Amino acid sequence: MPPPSNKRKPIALNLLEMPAKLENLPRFMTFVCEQARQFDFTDKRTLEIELVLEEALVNVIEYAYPAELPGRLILHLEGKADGKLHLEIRDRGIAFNPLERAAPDLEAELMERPIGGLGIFLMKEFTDGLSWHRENDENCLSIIFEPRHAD
Amino acid sequence: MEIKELKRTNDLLTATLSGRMDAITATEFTNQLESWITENQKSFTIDCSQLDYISSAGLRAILMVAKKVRGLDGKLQLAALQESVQTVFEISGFDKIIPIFANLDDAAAQ
Repeated sequence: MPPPSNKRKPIALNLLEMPAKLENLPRFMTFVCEQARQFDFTDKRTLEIELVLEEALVNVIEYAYPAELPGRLILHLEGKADGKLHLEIRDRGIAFNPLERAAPDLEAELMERPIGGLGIFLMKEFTDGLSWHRENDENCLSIIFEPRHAD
Repeated sequence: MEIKELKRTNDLLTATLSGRMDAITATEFTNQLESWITENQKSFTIDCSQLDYISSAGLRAILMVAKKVRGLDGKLQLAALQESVQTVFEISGFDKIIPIFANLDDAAAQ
């Protein structure tokens, strides 16, 4: 545990780049969670960050590239002095804005409930800023987390 | 993630689910439940007190099994969810389609 005086120190820009494969998911998750804990996020908020991160990464892993030819997945992480954590996830796969996916019908009865569509919905619920843009043939998903998410 | 049988009484199989149910591990749940279904088990109570984390992949696995057992006139019910897991269920509206109980005793009383 670092001394309290270091807790709010802005962390330098961090970057992790690996093939967009499911087997690399734990490495990406560990990378972000260790930073989040250093940066004064509660255990509850860190779990929410994990969830959002998994949904975002799995989205790229499953849809951005052809299964037999996984490309790169690039994760930028930056802690801001105001306590917010900024994440950027980039890939060079097909152009796809996940935020345009229709929200699932949360009121549907069990047998009518579609399988899937919940990941992006959960991302929206647990983030404090979520945007997508296409730049230099890359999908860029930007995510902002505040230390305590307003319910 | 680990799923273990606790007991079978009449038609109901009770199991404990522990660890993390994510995009990598969720299929273990589906595979185990489908294996029990092939043994003619149709109703399940899952103790989730040791389940620390669930993502949409886990929800998807639970929904698939819940639909399958409903189609067989069975049921899938959950008990003792941790607060963070309960939150994910509520936000997703899963608390309205999957019976959730405070503990195994309450679930058994159904």
